[in-house]
Amino acid sequence: MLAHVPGPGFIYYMCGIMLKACFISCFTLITVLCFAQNIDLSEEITDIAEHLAASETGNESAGLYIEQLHDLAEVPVRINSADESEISRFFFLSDFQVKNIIDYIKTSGSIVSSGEIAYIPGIDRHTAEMMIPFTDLSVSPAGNSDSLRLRSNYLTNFIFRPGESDTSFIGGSFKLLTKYRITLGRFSGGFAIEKDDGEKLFDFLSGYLDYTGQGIIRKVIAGDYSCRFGQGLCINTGIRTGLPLTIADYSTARNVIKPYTSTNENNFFRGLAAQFAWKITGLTIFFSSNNIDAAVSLPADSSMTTVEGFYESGLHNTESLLHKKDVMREISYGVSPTLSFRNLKIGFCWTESRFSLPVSPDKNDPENLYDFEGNLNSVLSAYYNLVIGRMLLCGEAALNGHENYAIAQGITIRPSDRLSMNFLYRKYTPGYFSFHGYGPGINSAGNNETGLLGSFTLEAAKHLFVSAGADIVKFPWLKYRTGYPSMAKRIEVKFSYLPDENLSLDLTFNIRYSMLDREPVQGIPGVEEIKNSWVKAQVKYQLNERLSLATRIDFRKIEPSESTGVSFLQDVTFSFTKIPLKFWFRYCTYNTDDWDSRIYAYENDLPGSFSIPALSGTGTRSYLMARWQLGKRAELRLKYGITSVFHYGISEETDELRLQFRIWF
Amino acid sequence: MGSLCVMRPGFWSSFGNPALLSENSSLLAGVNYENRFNICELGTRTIGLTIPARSSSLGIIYSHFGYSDFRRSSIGLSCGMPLSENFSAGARVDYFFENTSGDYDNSQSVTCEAGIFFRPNENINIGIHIFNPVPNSLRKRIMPSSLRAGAGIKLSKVLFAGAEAEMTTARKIIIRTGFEYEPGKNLFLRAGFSSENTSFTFGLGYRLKVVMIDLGFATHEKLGITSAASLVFRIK
Repeated sequence: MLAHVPGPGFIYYMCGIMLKACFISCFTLITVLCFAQNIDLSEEITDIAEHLAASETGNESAGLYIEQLHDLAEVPVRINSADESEISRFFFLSDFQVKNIIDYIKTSGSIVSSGEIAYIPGIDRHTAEMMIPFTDLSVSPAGNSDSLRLRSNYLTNFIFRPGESDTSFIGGSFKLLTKYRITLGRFSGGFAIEKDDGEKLFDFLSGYLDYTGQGIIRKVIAGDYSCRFGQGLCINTGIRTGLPLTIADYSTARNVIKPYTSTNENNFFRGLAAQFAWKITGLTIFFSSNNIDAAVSLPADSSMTTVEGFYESGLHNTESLLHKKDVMREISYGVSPTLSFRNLKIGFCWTESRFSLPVSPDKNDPENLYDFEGNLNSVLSAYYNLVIGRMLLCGEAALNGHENYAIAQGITIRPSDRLSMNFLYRKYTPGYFSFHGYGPGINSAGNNETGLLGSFTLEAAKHLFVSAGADIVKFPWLKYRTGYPSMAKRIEVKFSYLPDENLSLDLTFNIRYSMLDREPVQGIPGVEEIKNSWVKAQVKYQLNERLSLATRIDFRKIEPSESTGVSFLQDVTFSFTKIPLKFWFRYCTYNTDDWDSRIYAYENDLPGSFSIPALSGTGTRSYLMARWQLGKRAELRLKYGITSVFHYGISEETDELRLQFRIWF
Repeated sequence: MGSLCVMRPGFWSSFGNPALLSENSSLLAGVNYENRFNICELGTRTIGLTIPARSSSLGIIYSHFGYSDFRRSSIGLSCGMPLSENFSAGARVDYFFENTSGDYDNSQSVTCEAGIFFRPNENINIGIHIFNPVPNSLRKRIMPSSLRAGAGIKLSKVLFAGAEAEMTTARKIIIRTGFEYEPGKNLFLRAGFSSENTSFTFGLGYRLKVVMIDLGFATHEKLGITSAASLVFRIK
């Protein structure tokens, strides 16, 4: 299927696509006036996303973190506003930390330097370093003359693999992403257009108009938006990730509606959302009508078309996948009232989802016994958030129409500024379903999970941080590749030594136990306990303003198969002083016995995009990325990556070219 | 020193990491003979020359391994230069030639390598080296690539210790560690360990006016001892 020699026709075709991208760029240029700020934060974003997603098995959550961090980079948090909703945009902070920041600013006045952030009670140095790149220390309130200027930000990413084409694709073998955002005072708007590899132009379109106020009307969004209420058991279309074991605090009950700027084609709302607040009361309402992807079953007697399952990858690059696109309409609506006291916040959330086609999974498969069936699902939840001295309690309980429930209860204790402890209990019954909900947990389905997590972060000595956590989870019903009720354990210990701002050393041990079906020789498969051990050592050193280096070694071992994987990588970042050019270079060599012991290597990438290749087999991976600053209002980035895999003495190479043009006004 | 060479300035190590050439300020010439497991067919003969050129330095090395039926030779031309007060970089171009008797084909290839060396402070050395970062699609035969990184610390005026990691494509990662102790003037004792074949190394060196004499031994868990001797002359 793969042809490795592009013909002249292909080149003309690519030129045509590039011309289209240029046309869009020029069109945007002549329609808007300019204003700008732009700081390159791609390294910080990659580092923070990797830290937050350290205990995740795949790269999906890291991608979400990267998108959120790029959003923060584009519009930094005005920390001195002392406004909860504004500071809560630091999605990795807990309510406890947000409250401490607000209290600090109200009692001590505005924060005047980024170094001061680390002195706020409850904010350790590591958390402060995560915040600083995305912090705006200006004290001017929103709505002043500066914020009334028209701002816009436009980027186009173009990704293709030279010499590769798949004949089953219905569109060009390249990926294209265009994002545009415009801001004028309290109003903002934007759109995103995306075409994945092999899809037709333009497969995904998204847009929004947003108003942010400070009176009774706090926010109104028309178009595409995402929501989160409380712990997310009822509604959470924002970050849907697992539970990191070595971060200082967990994000707690927080209500957020915000414009949708991601390119995930499924988990968002399309319609209208509004947030109101009056004194201690708050109210959020939303309505959405959106077409979603699904696999449809057409019975032989044509009695009724039903949906066998949802299709969530967002990829529509073949005829068969295109048939799954937008086959079903989902109408969702909901309301969430809240009461906010000084140390206590209480809220409720009710939501209902209606589908144009009934969902009818194959119930002959025992794994699907508890799966959702029908075309209507409603969920009701109650959540709270309580601060008692140096202790934060938060929780949510949710019930859906099928008499199934979910509970999450967390507690964060800070006995001193150097020690933070977290505990989280959650129980999601196998039949609990909220199509846009995702509470804290590790099962991607958001149900069928009972677990207890404990973790701490300690500043053990000057510059030395130790964090550790353990999570024990039971899955009371069957799940993917596990035909029995099963359990899992996760343990992680991390040492960070930060002797000065230019040097950091990290050592992480991670052990994960899980249960999977054993390949049956005959009859019913047995269960096998898999132990997955991972050690990561990393040194980062910033030599001067122009040059920084990072060295990292990963070792992974899977038992009982005894499969091992190891990778060794070197990053070099260099920027010139006299010309506006910056380079990122990586060289990585790896050796893994099989796919199970694969190693994920986070890469610096184009803003709005991410690259976390799973390194498996034996080979090397290297890339070179260059950024050329075109004046003060535009930049061009080029990334070329090549992966060589050695197989039976033959080297197979795949390469990829990524191009980005970005302007900001 | 457990074959540590990526961060320890010296005549031979400057051929292991060309960035270390910037530490050489003299015209030096050296010869080395290494014999593996007391088998003369597995001997390696090496000669090298470093030439200071203003702030930078050039290096030339020729190495020959094997016997009449199988010979592998390499020639390298390298250059290292300081880029700032505590940071230097270097690069090298290598030509390899492999000669086999009988009907087998002879092979030759060209590649490059590069390294950096820096001192965060006066007692700590850090070195990084990449060998053959060239895609194999550009050559007829596959040549492995490798990455090495290491750090060393000067624990006192007479004691230096270091560790480095190396990974070559399709091979396991190798950890090396070692130290060099100067018990008397111009006398050096060295010892180290390498995780490759669980190898322990021992060595000593003596500086006699313009000549540096070195002897080294490395154990192999199954095959015995590798020994090496070298002479380095300070010409100017």
